[in-house]
Amino acid sequence: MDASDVQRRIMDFMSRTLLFQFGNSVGPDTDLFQAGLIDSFGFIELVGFLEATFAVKLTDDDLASPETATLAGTTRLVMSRLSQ
Amino acid sequence: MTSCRRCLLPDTVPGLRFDDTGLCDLCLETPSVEELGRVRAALREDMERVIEAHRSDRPYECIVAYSGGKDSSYTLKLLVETYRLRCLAITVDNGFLATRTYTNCRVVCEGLGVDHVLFTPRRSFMNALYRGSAEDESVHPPAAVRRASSICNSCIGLINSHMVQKAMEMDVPLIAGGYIGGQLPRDAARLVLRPGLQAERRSPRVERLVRSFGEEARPYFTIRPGADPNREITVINPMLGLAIREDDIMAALAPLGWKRPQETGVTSTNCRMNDLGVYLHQKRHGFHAYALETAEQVRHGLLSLEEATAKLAALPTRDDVAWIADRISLDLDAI
Repeated sequence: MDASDVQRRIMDFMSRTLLFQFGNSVGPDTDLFQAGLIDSFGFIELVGFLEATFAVKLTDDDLASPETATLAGTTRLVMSRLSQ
Repeated sequence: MTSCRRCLLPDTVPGLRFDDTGLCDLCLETPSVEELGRVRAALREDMERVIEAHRSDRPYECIVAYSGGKDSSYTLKLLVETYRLRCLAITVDNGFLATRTYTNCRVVCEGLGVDHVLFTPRRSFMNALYRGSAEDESVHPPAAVRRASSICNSCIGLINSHMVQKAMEMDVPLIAGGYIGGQLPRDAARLVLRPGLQAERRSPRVERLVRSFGEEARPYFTIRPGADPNREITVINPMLGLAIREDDIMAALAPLGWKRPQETGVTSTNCRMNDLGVYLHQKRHGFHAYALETAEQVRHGLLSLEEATAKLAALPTRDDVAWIADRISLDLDAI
């Protein structure tokens, strides 16, 4: 599974479950919390999705990291866990 | 309009998909009733481990976010009688609690021997919070508005923040909510909060609320980290580990003197504002604000299709909610 596959699956989840689309105003480096597109419950759903879908375990540091505020950062994080 | 043949969720719910047999994707990804039973048992065992790990000689071992409604009343009863936790019940008076709710809070807490705090935010702020939430739902993420009305999201956000603030101030390690299935993401049954570490992540949300509701909102939604940045507070939701029907809940509460209020509508057992949220949500989005919660109760076998149909059909009318809109200076016709 490469990074583009991972990113595509995360984007699909965000579209279906978190109900927003990536496009003109929302990009891979958009801070989704700053943009008001995700709240704490949405983040919990995202983490649950990542761990179940990619069979990775995210640490407390991961969850607090600015990486998990963006699509690109989340993708990088998952890829780094998959490579371990 | 198409509705799921199993859980009644309509195709007006954003993001919902259906298969060729008329089942929605939430039903398709829900395990069997038997497996759900095992999931609930696992949640219960996990919660019991958490409870045991947090027993102490502190004055209070658990703050219960106590609305006075049936679910949080049952939660309080369970934690006190079954788990022998020293609880502090905190009720946030939003200005729209039914008269009977105050009595219910008193008789339940007295009957269980529990200390109770009634916190009453300024009416002017609460009315502005509700009005602003009704006028502009974008204060909340799209997925939050699917889960509950914008009004309820704002109120619950204030309540949750208050509970965490008090837990931090009073050094209470546990907070218990009365959430039931469908009101929370499935992975949120137990949450470990680290307000110190999470302050930066939380900050955009607080700033958004301040932009929407004014600087008055800041103290209600800000959680000060405290001296220990690694301080943890665990949030549990005992009802998620139980399979108990509404009528059984109310039967269990009756000996304490709890009675269902008559003026809170079909979907609330404590709050009169709830109907306005349901009315506006239906008008804007074309599905009931309680559709997801009701669907989950059906999937768990706790509500029959007939009961769910009746619940979702009992929508408040404009006449039912006009007085609420007047109270908060909301122009219903502008929505």
